[in-house]
Amino acid sequence: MDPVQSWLDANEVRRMAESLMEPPAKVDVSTIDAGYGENFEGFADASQTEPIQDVWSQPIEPQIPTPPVAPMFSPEVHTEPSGSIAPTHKSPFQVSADQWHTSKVPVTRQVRPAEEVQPSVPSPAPTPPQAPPAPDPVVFEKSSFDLPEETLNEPEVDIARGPFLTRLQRFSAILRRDLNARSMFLIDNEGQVLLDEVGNPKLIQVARTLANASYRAHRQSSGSAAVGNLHVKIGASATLEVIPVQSRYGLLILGVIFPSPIGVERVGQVADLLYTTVESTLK
Amino acid sequence: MITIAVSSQKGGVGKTTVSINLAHAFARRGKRTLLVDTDPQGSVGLSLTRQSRTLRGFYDAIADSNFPLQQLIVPTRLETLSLVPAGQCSDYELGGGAMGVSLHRVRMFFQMAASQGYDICIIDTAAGLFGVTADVLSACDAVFVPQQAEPLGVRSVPKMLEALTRMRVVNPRLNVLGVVMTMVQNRLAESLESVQALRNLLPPNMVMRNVVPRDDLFIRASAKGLPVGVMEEGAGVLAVFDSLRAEIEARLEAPYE
Repeated sequence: MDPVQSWLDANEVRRMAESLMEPPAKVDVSTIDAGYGENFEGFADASQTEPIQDVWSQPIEPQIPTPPVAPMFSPEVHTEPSGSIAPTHKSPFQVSADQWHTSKVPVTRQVRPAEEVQPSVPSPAPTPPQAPPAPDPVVFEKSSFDLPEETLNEPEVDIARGPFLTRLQRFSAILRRDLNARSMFLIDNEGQVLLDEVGNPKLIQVARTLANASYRAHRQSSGSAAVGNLHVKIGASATLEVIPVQSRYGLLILGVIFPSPIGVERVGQVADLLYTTVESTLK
Repeated sequence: MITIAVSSQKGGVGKTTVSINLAHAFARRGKRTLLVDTDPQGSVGLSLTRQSRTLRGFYDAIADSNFPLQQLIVPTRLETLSLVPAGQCSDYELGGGAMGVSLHRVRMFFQMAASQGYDICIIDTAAGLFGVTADVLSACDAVFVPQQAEPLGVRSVPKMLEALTRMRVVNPRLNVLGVVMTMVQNRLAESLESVQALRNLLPPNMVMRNVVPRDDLFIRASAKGLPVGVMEEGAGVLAVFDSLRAEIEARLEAPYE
């Protein structure tokens, strides 16, 4: 009796061995994974990392609404300490109390234009309308990279004009047209859905978790750790890019599904475009 | 610089012996050779230097990428041969480490070694193709697999091939230099049958023509802290490893032939 071959599948072994002795098939890497450069140190050992607390799951004190007697927007919004995620302006998307901490993420939240300039809670003593002061030039930290020659096409319609939801829809259309995006969602720093074309609460949760972890690392390192280029492969040809953007409403988290990672330059462009879309609310 | 990991799924097959004597053979040939011990048991250091338990080494570089490689290198009496012991690595020794955790540091280590002008780096690894060994294989150019010439050793070959296949997914450029039969006993029929069984089982270009015999000389060399080739009676074994070195060089020059 053969002391070896009777103990194993010789054909299977030979097949594996032959494949190992052949040159490896060439892998066509068409997109550089911009998120992991040469300094990528590998994934942390899960057993050595502290569990991440969801900063947005903390209990929130009920807020007493106050009438808007002052302009909603002041230049100080951009002078807050680096890494802070606290909003300096109320979100234009007010939610009712029973929407806090719902485990189920609403698929779509419709926004009425009136919500953008007035809080949803009626003012007991409305003040006469005031013209907003001309805003000072926005101090916006540009991304450190140089934009590539091929940039996003200029939108045909001014993306900064119109109701908020309309602008977001224009923004989404630009992503589809110029970057082959499939769908997107946008949530605010309280986890409320501002726009959802994806309809998948799990992906929204993934995006929140990623952005949360990235910002926590950013803050714990006193800003020395960059908020990374966050993306997750969610299908054979589908990648979820998570793009956190600091705005006057706090941290907004954009999730866009692309066929493949778009690279750090594109992410920067998308973030800039979203910033323009969001920050021009009061223009 | 070419990096060659000496690895096997199974323990006790002679990885350290092959690593030491292969490194010695390359160094004798005039190649600037660095022998690196990545086995937390520190067998290379224990074989070649009395101070191995206090010397810093590979795992210190993994723990601190700024650790200067020059402080880790231990010269030998053969000018072209240097070694890096395993070092003080209690965390890895105890925890084992997960694959991917140290990959970047391993690459940095190899880059530092290459910058020192070494021609070849031979890495003795711990048994099993996981943890830090998997990271080493992910960063290496080639892998060389000692396989004990006994039925149990040969039966473990499928597991070894599966693990190498997984490693090739992670590191497609990993050149599988082949399997060398070790501890071959010419007077034991089962040992010789195992050699023949492996030759029948695997493609001819996967099994080295040379085999490493079981020889008391290895134990005597280990007792003196020397490669077997420098022993007075070591000419025969020296010739074996020199032939093995030539086979490996040929496969490095013309892989997959």
